[in-house]
Amino acid sequence: MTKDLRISLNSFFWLIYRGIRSLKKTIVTQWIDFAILTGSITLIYGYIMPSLGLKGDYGIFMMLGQVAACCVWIIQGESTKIVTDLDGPKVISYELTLPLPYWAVYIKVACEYAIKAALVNIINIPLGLFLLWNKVDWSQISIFKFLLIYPLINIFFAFFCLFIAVYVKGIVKFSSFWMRWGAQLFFFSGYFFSWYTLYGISKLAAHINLINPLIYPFEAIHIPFMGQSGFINFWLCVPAIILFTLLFALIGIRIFKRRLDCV
Amino acid sequence: MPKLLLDVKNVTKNYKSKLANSEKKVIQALKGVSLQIYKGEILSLLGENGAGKTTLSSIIATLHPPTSGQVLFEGKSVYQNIIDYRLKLGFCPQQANFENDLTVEDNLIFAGRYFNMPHNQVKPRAKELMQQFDLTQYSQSFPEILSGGYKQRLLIARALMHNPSLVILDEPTVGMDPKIRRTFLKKVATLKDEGISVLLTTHYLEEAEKLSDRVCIIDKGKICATDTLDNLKKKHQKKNLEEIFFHFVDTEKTSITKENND
Repeated sequence: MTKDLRISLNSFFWLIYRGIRSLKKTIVTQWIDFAILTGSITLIYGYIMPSLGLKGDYGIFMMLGQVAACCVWIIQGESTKIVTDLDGPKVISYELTLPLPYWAVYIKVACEYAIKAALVNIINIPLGLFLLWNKVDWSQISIFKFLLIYPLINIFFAFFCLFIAVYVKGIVKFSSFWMRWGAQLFFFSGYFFSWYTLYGISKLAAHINLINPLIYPFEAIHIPFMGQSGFINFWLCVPAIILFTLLFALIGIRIFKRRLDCV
Repeated sequence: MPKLLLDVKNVTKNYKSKLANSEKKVIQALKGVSLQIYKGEILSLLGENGAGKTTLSSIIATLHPPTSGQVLFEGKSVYQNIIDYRLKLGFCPQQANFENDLTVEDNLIFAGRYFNMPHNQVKPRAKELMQQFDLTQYSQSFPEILSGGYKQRLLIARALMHNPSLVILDEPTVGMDPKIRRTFLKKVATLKDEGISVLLTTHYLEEAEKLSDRVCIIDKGKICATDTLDNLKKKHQKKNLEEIFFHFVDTEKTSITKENND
């Protein structure tokens, strides 16, 4: 390992550690917030909505979608900080004078978001499974697939939200983006219905929806707990998530460099 | 002859500015700037608002790249090994950019960590700097509660944490009351005794006059003069820095500034 790389990795590590350390103050509150939110949704879709004719496993479907949705909400909330910072005090400029390249600062921000979201959101899985104990098909559970997909979706959403945050200028346009586009991508992802449900209604719409980057993480998060049947193949979702993550990272880094005119 | 530390060669900087009618206008912030900083000297960069001081200090701090030209540190381009250069550089920006959820002490400790300082040196160095800049009483406070003068002290302490050989202070005394400014400038003067080179950008002439070994006057993106104060006085037959400064900057603006000062 070269000296420069060692120094940069050291800075990177301490920046990440410093970011995660700040979570100490708020993590319990956030666990409670998200447990209440996910708990309510799980109970409603697991026990009340089936009485209106929804399928019995819709509760677990929604609970898992909620896990992915919480990732988006947590990271979107975090990314508003960078939107206001880029428009105002540019506190991030301090990090751009540290001994690491500008793209490492960008990746560090995304990693910090991903780690925070993963730590806050992890509480939702055991809680949801506990609330739906009798409705879970335990034979379908794959811990390996979950351990693979959980970090991946957090990293994906971190790079996706950070890309939006650096691409859209100003908090007004940022909110507008999420209303006009982000919410639609979310609604047509696998939160309310799986891709195959849409396919059953309109093949054309389902195929168009394959360009929606959010479809893959939302589909993939269901598979470790509900099995492969009825979802896009897990082993197609994984490379698609990695591909979109790389795409958002590369474009985001270019925009970040251009906006901050970094060296 | 003092050792040359930093050599800025023919640097230009253009950037696009968006006009009200959405058109973009190219602004030339620096027009072929050349400047040398020697080891252990305090060089003041003087200029009016918008003269290009912050642009130049940001380029030297590697926050922004120059459009053309070179920045050499100890004879080598800073872009050849930017990591190594940043380890030797302390940058104190105009606006405070602290990590507000960390205490004063932790801001310093983490700054040391980011710059790869050994574990056993970080805390003693933070304590030493807090003492030097009278921050000990605030060590467990958050930066938000500090007054303007103390915030600037913390900014400098943070920039010095990793023992840099060059420190850039970008208008550090803006908004400070005269008493705090005086104490603050005394602290800056001590840096020279430690062998640290200082690039001080300011538009306060009297602080440049008191502190600097050399002054550099910049106007509209061009360097007008760089020399010791005595040499400038002799060369231009002026009594003080104020007269020298107004000799170089726009005459129309000069009369306005003088009137306002009166």
